[in-house]
Amino acid sequence: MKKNVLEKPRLGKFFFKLLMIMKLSVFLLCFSVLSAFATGTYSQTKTTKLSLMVQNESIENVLKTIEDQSVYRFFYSGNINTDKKVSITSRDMDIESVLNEILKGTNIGYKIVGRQVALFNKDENGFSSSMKQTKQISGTVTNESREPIPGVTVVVKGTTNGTITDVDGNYVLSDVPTNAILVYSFVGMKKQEVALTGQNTVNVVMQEETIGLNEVVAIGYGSVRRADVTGSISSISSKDFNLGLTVAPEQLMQGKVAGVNIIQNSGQPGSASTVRIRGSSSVSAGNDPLYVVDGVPLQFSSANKYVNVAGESSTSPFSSEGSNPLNAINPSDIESIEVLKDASATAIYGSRGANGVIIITTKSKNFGDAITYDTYVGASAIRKQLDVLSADQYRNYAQSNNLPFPDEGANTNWQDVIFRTGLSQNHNLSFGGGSKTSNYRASLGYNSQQGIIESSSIKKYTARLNASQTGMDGKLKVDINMTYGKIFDDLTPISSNIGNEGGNILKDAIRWAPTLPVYNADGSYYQIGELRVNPLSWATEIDDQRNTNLFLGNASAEFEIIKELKVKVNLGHDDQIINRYTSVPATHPIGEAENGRASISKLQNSSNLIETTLTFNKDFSENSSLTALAGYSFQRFVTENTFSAANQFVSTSVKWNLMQSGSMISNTSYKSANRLASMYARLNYKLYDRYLFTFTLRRDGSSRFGGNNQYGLFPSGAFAWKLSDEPFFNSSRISNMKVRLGYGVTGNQEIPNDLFREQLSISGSNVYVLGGTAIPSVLPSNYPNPDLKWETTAQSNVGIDFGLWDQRLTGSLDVYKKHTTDLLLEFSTASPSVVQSQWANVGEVENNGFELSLDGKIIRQNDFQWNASINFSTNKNEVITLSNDNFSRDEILVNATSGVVSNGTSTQIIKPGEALGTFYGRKYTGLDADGMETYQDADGDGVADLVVIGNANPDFTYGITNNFFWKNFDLSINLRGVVGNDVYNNTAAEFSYVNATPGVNILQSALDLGMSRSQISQFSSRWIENASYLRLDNMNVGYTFNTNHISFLSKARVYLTGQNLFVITNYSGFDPEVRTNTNRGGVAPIGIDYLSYPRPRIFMLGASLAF
Amino acid sequence: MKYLKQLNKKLILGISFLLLLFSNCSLEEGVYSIYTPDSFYSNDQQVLSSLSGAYRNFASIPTFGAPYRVLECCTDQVVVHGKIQGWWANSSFEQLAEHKWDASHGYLWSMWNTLFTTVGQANALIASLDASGLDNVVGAKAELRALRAYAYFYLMDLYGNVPIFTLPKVDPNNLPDQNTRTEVFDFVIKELTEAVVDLPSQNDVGDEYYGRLTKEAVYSLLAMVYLNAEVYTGTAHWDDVITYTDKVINSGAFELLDNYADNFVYNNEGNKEMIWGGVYTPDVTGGIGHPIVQKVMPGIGGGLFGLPYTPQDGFGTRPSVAALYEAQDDRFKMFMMPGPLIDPRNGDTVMVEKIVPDGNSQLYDPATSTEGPVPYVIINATGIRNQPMNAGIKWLKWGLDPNTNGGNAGNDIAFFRLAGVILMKAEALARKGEMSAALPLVNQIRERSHATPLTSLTLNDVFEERGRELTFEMKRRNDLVRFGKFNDAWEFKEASSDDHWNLFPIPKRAIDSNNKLQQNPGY
Repeated sequence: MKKNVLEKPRLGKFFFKLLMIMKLSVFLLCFSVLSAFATGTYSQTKTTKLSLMVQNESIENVLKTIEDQSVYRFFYSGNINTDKKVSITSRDMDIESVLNEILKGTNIGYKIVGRQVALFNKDENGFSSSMKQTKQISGTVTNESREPIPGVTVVVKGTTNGTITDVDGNYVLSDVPTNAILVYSFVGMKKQEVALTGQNTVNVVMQEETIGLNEVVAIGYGSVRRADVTGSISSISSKDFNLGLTVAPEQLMQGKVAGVNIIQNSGQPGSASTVRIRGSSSVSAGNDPLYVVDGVPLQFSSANKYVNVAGESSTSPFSSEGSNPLNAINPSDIESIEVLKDASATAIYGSRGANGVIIITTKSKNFGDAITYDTYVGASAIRKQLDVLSADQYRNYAQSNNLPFPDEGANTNWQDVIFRTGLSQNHNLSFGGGSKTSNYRASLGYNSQQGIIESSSIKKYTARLNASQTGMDGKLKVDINMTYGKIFDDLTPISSNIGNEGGNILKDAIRWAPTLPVYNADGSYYQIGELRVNPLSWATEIDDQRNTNLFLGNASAEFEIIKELKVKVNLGHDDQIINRYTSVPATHPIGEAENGRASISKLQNSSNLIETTLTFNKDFSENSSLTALAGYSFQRFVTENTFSAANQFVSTSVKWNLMQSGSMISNTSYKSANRLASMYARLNYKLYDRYLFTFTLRRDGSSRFGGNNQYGLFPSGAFAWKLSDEPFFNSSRISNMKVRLGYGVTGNQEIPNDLFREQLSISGSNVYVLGGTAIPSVLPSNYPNPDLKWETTAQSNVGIDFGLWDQRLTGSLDVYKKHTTDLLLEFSTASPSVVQSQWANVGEVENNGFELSLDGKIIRQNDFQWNASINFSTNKNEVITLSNDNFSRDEILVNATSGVVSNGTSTQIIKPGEALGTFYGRKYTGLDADGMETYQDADGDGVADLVVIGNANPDFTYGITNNFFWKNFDLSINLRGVVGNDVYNNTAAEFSYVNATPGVNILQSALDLGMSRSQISQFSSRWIENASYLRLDNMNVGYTFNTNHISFLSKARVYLTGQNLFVITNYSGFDPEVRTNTNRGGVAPIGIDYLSYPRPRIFMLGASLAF
Repeated sequence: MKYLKQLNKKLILGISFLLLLFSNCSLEEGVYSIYTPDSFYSNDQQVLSSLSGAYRNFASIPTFGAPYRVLECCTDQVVVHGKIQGWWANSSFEQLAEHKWDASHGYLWSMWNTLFTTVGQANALIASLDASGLDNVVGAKAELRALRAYAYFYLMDLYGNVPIFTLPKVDPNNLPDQNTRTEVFDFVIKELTEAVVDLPSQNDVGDEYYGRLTKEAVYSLLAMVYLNAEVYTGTAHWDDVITYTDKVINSGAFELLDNYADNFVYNNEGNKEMIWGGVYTPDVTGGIGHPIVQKVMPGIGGGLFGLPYTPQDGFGTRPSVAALYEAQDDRFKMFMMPGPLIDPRNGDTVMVEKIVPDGNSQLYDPATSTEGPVPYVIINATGIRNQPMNAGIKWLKWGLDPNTNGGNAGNDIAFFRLAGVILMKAEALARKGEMSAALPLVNQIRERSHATPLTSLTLNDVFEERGRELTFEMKRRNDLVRFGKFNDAWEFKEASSDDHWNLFPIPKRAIDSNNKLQQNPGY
C-alpha cells in the first residue's frame, strides 16, 4: 500500500495515522463480492455472529481476529491507540456487542457502515481547524451505498490543513482558499479530489479502490502486492471474468488480457482452446502456456495428443479435436487468474516458462458464512449458415448444363436438418465457514450443454473442497485443495482430417444434394452408400462418447521457524482419466462392411509433485526489505493408455459393452513417464519503497533429455522504479507511475518422452503372417539424439504502469522481445528413412510485441457509473534461421490439409524472414477467357510461381469491456477484435468449383464466379481470406434486488446474457475465429478452416442467490 | 546453547523429513512401451519380428491404395469412372487417367514414401542385426537386402534418378546425393546377385517359410530388372533375362496350375505357381487385407454375390482390355461386360429392385419388393466423370472371399508367379528374334486358359499375351513403357508426343526434404 505521508500539521492540533489491518485476501474477496452486487447493501451483516476467546491481546490483534472471522474491515483514523490489552469471551455475539466490550474504557468510537467499521478518536471527533479563513466548506462523505463514512480525511491540497469526518460522515473545514482543491482520502477507498468552484457545500461519494495497488498478485511460489510487481503480469479476478456459457477456465479471460490470444478451436461444446501468450515461438514443441492450479503445475499439453488416439484409420469420421483438460475445473470456483508474460516473471518456472504461465487460484473461503447458489438456463443456435444451392438452383444448374443429377423430388436444407437449438443449464452451490483457526469452502457444480449440431453435448459435474487450519499459535498452517470433475461428452462425427473418400456430418450436410430426402417413405434414413452418408444419420446412429475424470489435489504445510523464516512443503497429485467409446452399428452404411464396429480407448495422465520452499522475509529498516525464496521440487508424470477395437459383431446392440461378441481388430497398450527435478531461488529486494529488484534462478533437470544435456539453467532479473513515489515527483495528474525492466531466460520441453533414445516399437497392433504365423512387426521408431536439449527463450521487457487523475485512469504498457533459440524441431526425415520424422535443436524464432491496457472510471455518479477497459496488443513473429550444425534447411513446408482441394499439399511455409503461419502457394491472378484460373508466373516458365500468399498472424488484437451500473441495474458489454489475419478457407475452396456439382452441392457464390467446368479445384491465394473481425462477445444485463427486508436472503441478482451476438467481418465461412485440427490429434495449425463445428449464438437467463 | 540445541533438533527432524520426501527423486525414468535395440535382438523370434515389419510394408503395395493406383491407374487397364453423385470423382484419379499428374500428386508421394520406407527399414535393420552379435542372421540380412533392391527397382522404374543410400540413418546435414538411373540399375543387380547366394531355394523350405524371399523370387526379380534394362540404361540384357528365368523354370519348384482362376482364389496361399507375393490375413488382429472386391464391384446392396457389404463401385476397365480375349478364354471370365450382370457363382442374372443411377441399387427381395425385379445392366461408360453407377466394365480377378473383414479380403497377391516368368523368357527370346523358341512358351500359357494356340509369333503378340495373362497384376506400366506404347491414345486419354510422362516426377515433398534432388525433365 502506498503510505500516506502527511507533513506535520501546521497547527499541530491533530496528528493522524492511518492503519490498515485489513488482510489483503479479504480485500480480494471484497472485490468479488462487491462486483457481484455493486449496489447491494450489507445491512444484513449486522446479524453476523462472532465467537471470540481472547486473553490479554491488543485491541489491534482482536480486530484482526474479527476480520479473519467475518466480513468486517476496520479503518482507523485520527489518533487512536489500539495497543491496549483486552480480554473477551464471546459466543455468537453480534459485532456491536463485541466492539462495545473491547472498546470499553477507551476513547475509541466506532461507526459501522455496511461491512466497514471506522474507528475514531472520540475526543477528536469532528475536529476542524478553526483558523480565521474567508471560506468554510462543509459536507457529507458517503460510500456508494449512500451510507456516511466517518474518519475520512479531508485536506486542502498542498497544505496540511485538514479534518476528518464525524460519525455521520459530516465535516466542516475552514480556512479554505476559494480556488482550493480538497482531497478526500480513506484507506481502501479511492482518493478523490474536488476543485472548489465557489460552493460552500461539497458532498462526496467515496468509491472502493477497485484497481488497487494493494491487490495481491500471485507470482509463483508466492505473491506480491500489485504495486511491488516487477515483471509483466496480468491479473484478472472473478469480477472481471467473461460471463456466459463457459465451460473452460481460459474462456473466462478471452479478450480481456493484452498479449494473450485465446481462440476456441470450434463451437463444439467443451472444445479446446488455443492459448498463446505473446505469440508462438516453437515449431514442434508446443506453444501452450504452463498452467499452475493452486500451486501445482499441470502437464496437459503433451498428454493431450494421446487423447485423440481413437486407433481409427486416417479416414475415420470421428472428431479429432483434443479435449480440454481444464474443463474439469469449475469456472465459478476460480478466484483469480494471473498471466505471467515476461521472462522475469516466468523464469521461476524455468524450463516450462517460455510460453508464459497461467496461474489459477481457486476460492478458498466463502465470504460471510453464506450459502450461494447460482444458476442459468441458456439456448444456443447457429449464427450463420453457409449458403449452398437450394433444390431449385441445383436442378436448374444441372439441367441447363445438361448433366444427370440425383433427384428424389425433395427440397431439403441439410443444414437445417443437422443444426438445432441447443439448451443448457448450470447449477452451482457453494458454502463455507470457519473459526479463528480454520476455514473452508465447498462447492458443487453441474453444467449441461447441448451443441447446435444434433447429438453433441457435454455434461459436467464438479466438486471442490478447500480448507485450511492453523495451529501452534499460528505458526503452522495446513491447507488442502481438492477438486474432482467428471465430464460426459457426446461427440458428433465431425473429423476434418480425412481423405476425400469419406465424409462426416458437416461435410455431408453441405455436399448432399438438396433434391434428396432425409427419410424414405418407410421412415428409415434415405442413404446413398458408405461414401455418402445421410447427414442426420451420422448424428443419430453413430456413437462417440468421451468420459473424463479429473482429480486435482494438493496439501501443504507451512511452518514459521522463526518470525522471518517459513518453510513450506507442498504435495500435489493430479489424475486425469479419459475414456472414449465409439460404435458404428451394422445397419449404418459405414458399419455394414464390418458388420458393426466398436472401440474403447482409455487414457490416464497423472502426476505427483513434491516441493519444499523456504521463504525469508525481513524489513531491515524503514528503508529496505528483502524477501528470499529457495525451493526444490520434483514432479513425475505418467501417461498410460489402452485401446481396443472390434468388428464383426454378433449384434451391435451391445455397442462397446460386449467386445467379445465381435472379433478383435486392434488391441494396444502404452505407457510412458517423465520426471522433472528443479531447484530455484528468488530474491525480492525493495529499497526506499521505490526501487524494486527481483532476481530468480532455476535449474531444471528433465528425464526427457539424455545425459548430455539433462540440466538447464534459467536466470532472470528485473528492476522496477516507482517514479511517482519519488519526493521530486509532483504531478496533479499522475497518481502512479512505475517503470519496469526485465530480462530472463526460460525454456520449453514439451516434447514426447524418450526421444533421446533409439527406439523400436510396434505401430498399432501390426502383425504380418510369415510361414503361417502372425508375427508382431517391431520396427525402429526413433533415431536417438542424446544431444537433445531445452528450447531456450531469452526475453526482455520494458513496461510502465501508470495511473492518472487519482487512479481514475490506470494502465500498463509493455514492449517486449522474445528470442528463441535451439528450437526443438521435428522435421520430416529425408528419404530413405525408417522413421517419418526426427528431432533436433534447430532454428531461431523471434517475437516482438507491444501491449497496452487501459482501465477507466469514466462516469462516477451516485446512481450511474461507467467503467471501461481496453486492451491492445500486437506481436510480430519471425523465423530467423532454420540452420545450425545439426541441420540445415532453407524452408520447411507444413500443414498439409485434407479435402479434395489440397489433399496432402502443404499450405504453409516455415522460412527465415517470414512468420510462423505464413501461407505459401500459387498466387491467383484471375480467370482467363475460358474461365480457367491463372496464377502469377513472374519468370514466364509456364509454371505457376510458389510465393508467400498470406499470414495467419493478426496485425493486432484488441478487447473492449464496458461496465455500466445504474441504480440496481448493471450492464456489461464485451467486444473483441482481431485485425489483419488471413485464414485459408478450405471449405469454400472445396465447394466453389462448379465442376464438383451436381456430384456434390456447392456454394451459391460459386455460380457467379464464372469458372469453367474444366477447372479442377486448386489451392491458391484465391481461398486465402482476410479474417479480421469485431465480435460482440458478450452482453450482460443484471438486476440486483434489495434484500434488506428479506431475512434469509442476503443477495439476489438476475441477469440476461447474450453471447456471440454479432460478428463484423468480411470472412465468408461460418466464423473467422477458427482453428481446424487437420492433423489428427496434434496441434491444430493456425489459420485453417475446414468444416469446423460452427460457434453458436447464445442467450441465457441466470440468477445468483446468497443465503 | 539450549536454544541452539532445540533448533538443532528441529533442524535435524526437518531435514530428515525432507530427505525422506525427496529420497525417491531421481531423474532416472523407466522405459515401458519401447524396445531399445541393444537389449532387443537376442533370438530368432526377435529378428523375425523386424522382418515382419519390413515385409508388411512392402506387402502394402498391392492393397489397392495409392501405390497400386500409381502402378495401374495410369495404364489402359484400370480406370476409375467418376460417378454422378461425386463418388470416386476426384482429380487424383483424373490426373492419372489423363496423364496430367504433377509433382504434388498425393499418390506419387505415397508410393515414393512406401518404397523408401522399405529401404530405410532394411538399412536400419541390417545395421541392428550386425550390431546384435547374433551369428545366424545371414539369411535375414539377405532377405532385407533383396527387399531393399526390390524397392530400388520400383524407384528406378517410376522416378529414375534416386539416391542410393544404405547407411542406417540419414545425416540431416549431409543429405543423400542423387544417383543416375544407371547407377541404381547397377546397384540393384549387385545387391540381388549378392543376396541370392544366402537365400534358400524354394525346394529347401516348406510352408514355414511362406511369404519370405527365396532364391527363385530373387531370380524372377533379376529377370524383370534385366527385361527392362534397356529402358533404364540404354543397353538390353535379353540373355540375362533368359538365364534367370531358366533358373526359376528349371528349379522344378513351381508349376502352372491347371486352372487359371485358382491363382487368385481366397485360399491361394502356397499354390505351386506362386513364386512370391503379399500375404493377406484380414481376419488376424492387426493383419492386413485388401479391399479389391469391395472397391471394384458395382454398388448393389442386399448381399450381392453373397458379400456382407455394399461394394463401392470404384475401379473398372476399358473395352479395349476385354477385347483382347477370345470368348472361350478362361481369363475372359473375369470381366463383367455391358449387359446384364451375371453372378459368377452360379451364372444367374443379378436381379435388382431397380437400377439407381445416382446411388446404390438393392438386390431384388420378393419379401420386401415394391417395384422389382429388373436385371442389373452394365452400360458403357462415356467418360471418367459424371457417370451413372452402372457405367463401365467391371472385373473380378481375385475371387470372392467368404471371410472378408471390413471389406478386406485375404486372397494373396503374387508379385511373381510362374506364368509371368515364362512370358518374360518368351519376350527375351522374341526380342532376340528366336520366335520359334518363344512360341511354345506363349502357347503354354494360352493353352492353360483354353485360348487358341498361336501358329506364329510377333513381338506384339508377346506384349498382348502379357496384357491378357497379367491384367491388373502391376506389370502393365512396365510393359507399356518398354514397348513404347505408354504415350499412345486409349479410351478417355489422348496420345502424347512428349515422352517425359514415362517417368513420374520426383514428389514435391521429397524435394522439400532433400534439396539435392533434381526434378525429372518436363516437370
